[in-house]
Amino acid sequence: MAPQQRPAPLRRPAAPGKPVRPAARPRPAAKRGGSLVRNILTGLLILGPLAAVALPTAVLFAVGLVPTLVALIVDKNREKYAAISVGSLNFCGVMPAAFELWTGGHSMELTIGLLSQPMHWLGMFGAAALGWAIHLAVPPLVAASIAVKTRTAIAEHKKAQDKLRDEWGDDVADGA
Amino acid sequence: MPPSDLTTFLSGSDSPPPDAGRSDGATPPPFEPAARVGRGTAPATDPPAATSGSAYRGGGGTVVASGAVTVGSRYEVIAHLPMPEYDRPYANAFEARDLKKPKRMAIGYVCTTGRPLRLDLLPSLLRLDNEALLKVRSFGVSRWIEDGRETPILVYARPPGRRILRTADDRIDPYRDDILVRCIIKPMSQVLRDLRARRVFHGCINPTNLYRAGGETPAVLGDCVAAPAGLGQPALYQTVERMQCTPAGRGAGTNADDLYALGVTLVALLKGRAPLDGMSDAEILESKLANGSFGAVVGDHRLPLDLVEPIKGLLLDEPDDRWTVDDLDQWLSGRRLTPKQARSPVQAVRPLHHAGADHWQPRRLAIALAEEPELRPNTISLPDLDAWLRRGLSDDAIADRVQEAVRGGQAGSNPTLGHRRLARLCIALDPTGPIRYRGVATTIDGIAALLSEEYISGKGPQIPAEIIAGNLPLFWVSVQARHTSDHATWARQFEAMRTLLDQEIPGFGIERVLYELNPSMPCRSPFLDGFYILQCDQLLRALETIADRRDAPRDPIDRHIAGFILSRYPNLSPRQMRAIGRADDPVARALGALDVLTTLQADARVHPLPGLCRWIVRLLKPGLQTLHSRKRRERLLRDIDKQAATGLLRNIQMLMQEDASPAKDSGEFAAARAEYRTHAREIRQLTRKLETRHAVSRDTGQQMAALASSIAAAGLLAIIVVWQAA
Repeated sequence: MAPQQRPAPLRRPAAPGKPVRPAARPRPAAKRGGSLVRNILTGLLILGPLAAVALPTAVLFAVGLVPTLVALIVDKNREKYAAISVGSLNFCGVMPAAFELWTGGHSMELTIGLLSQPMHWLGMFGAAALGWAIHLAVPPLVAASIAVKTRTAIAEHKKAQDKLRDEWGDDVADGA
Repeated sequence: MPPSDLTTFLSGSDSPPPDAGRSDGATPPPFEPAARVGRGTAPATDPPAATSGSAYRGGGGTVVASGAVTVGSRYEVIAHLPMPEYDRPYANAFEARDLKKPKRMAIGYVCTTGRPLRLDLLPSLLRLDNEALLKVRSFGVSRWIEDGRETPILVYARPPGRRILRTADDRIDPYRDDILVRCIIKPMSQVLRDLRARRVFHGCINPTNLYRAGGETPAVLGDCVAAPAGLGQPALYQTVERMQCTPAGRGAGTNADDLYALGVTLVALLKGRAPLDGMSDAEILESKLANGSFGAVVGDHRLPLDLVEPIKGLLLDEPDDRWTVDDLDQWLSGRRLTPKQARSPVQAVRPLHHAGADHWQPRRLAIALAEEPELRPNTISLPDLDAWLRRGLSDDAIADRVQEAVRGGQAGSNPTLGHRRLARLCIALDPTGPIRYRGVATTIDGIAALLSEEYISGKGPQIPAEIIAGNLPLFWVSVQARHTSDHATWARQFEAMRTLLDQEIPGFGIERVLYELNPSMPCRSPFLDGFYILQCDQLLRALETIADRRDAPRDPIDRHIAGFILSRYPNLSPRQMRAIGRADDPVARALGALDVLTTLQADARVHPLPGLCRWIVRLLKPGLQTLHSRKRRERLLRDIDKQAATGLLRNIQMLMQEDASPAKDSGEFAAARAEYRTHAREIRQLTRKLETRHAVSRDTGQQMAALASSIAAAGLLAIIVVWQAA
């Protein structure tokens, strides 16, 4: 008995006269996940050697830059603007503890001691929160600015049209 | 008024006399006017409604309340005092007074027929002082009391007596030969000498136009201006060539023709009646052709021996052989001349039979052929005709001309081809005769008067137009045995007329030809009925008069006026007339009329014409309503009425040229539409941008936020470093 062929998947027939478009190629599902993995691997590549030579600093940055890691994960944008906004300020929030670690003997005990102080957590996570705040607040402001500017331009064009219609009558609008 | 100033006469710009209204009873009439039905009976106190009141301007004269019309500024023609004893065939006589010299009596010839007067003679006649020629004193165009129409009026000195013959068939006692010499021949010889010196053809020498007081007073020759040459003269007094013509087509004539008329007049006075009375014009012509003029006119009458010589000399049919004024003067001074014998016309050795008659002479054959409707194959056998001309007449020249005439004349439409070929055949057979075409016969210089007469009589210009379009004048010139400078002039003139005929736009066509050929022709536009317009300034005044009438036409310039203007005002470009012919575009027509009339007003320096301005504005307003620019439209509609009130067409034209140019308006409207479309496109794009602003702002905002965070972080890092270092 001959093997039964699998039926072709149902497709909506093309409208008559229109060329049949090939089915859209499915986006590679692993792309976004691959990007994240690549970023994490990049972080590990930085922190790995750093841990080998400066474990206390690596631990401090690994713990302190958790908000940046989260932003990196949750930001769907390819450009990773959220990670940039959060990361840059988060990095500044970690730097006071890092300076204290580097000037205090650079030991794991000191790292644990620093991480046990709430003010350092507040500095690190507060700076990250400020980054998030900027990231979330600026786009609506830009939208509002665009809206105001566009509406003003539209009003000016309409005013010019009214002036033309006043001078030349409604016929001037024929075909516009 | 200086007699030489014909332009002043024609323009009618003389101011009315200050005492024009006091003519009632100023000079008692010398006799009770004879009752004439329908003429001159208007009571002095009952002028037409339009003239009631004191006085009004009408062309070159003024109607005063007394029932008199002033001509120029000096003469007054009294409408209720007709003088029928001095009537002319195309003019009625009325008593006239010289306002500066009330004792000097005059007569006014009121020319109501609408025919063109021989105004070209006026400058010469006004300067001519000859006691044997009735003195022209003045000319003017006045609104005649009876019909309220503008009418040309000629003022002459009062003749010394009555006409010699009151009517053409009147009878009188035959003149004695000595009276005839002293009272007729001598004074007429002087008159004809003076006329020849001024190149004037009188054209009206006959006993009904000669006036004598009786006794031995010399005769005085009457008017010759009141009608076109040839129309006022009975056929009997015309030469054989002119007799063959239609009365209006007899042409300008020559001094020799006047001498011929004098010869017939002398015979009439010797007989005491018109010769050949009781015969029709055709019978008289036949008699003259058969017997020669002398034989026909004198007949079996026994002339005084002394007078045989001059009468025979004056009645020679060959113009070159006919006596001249010099011959007549020599005869009067006692030198006896022997006139040349009348040349008998060339006759064939055998006749040609045509239409039931035998013809021995080509001229007689031409006259007979002219009776045919057109040249058809069966009209005449052309081989027989050729054989008759070559063998019977032994004249190869005529035979060759006939061949050429029949071969040529092919151009033009078929319906006229037969008529044209027949006319060419007649011309070839009788080159010195008239152009015979469709029952009309005209000399080459009579075509102008024929055309005007056909218009005036209502027959229409078809036949003269076909004569010109068919190149018959040029063919006539080409077959003449002797060529003069006049022939070349006529050839050029009619070639130009043919070109004018071919064009259909206003200002060309047969109307233009009418006015070009007839400089004295008044404008015959139908809506200028009642006006007698000879010049452009009169035209402007007439248009001003009719501008506000209810029956005024839509456009102020029709084909007649356009032709009249272009013929009388050569500075005007035909291009300016083209717009007037645009039947599909009334506004373009109005602008064209405005252009033409503005040029005329500026050139003629006619006083403001508010009525004509309003007329033009009425035509322009629909065009202004179609202007796209609303503000410009409203401003123009407001301003154009103000400019019309100034009466200067130039102001309206400037306003239209500056602001109301349709091309400018259309161009600006197109630019405005394009600008409107650009704005609409921009609005659409901005609206789309507004709708998608959130998507746009998210990317841009996040980018800006990243940038701001990075800058802030850099600043913070610097502070931290500095702080830690400190």
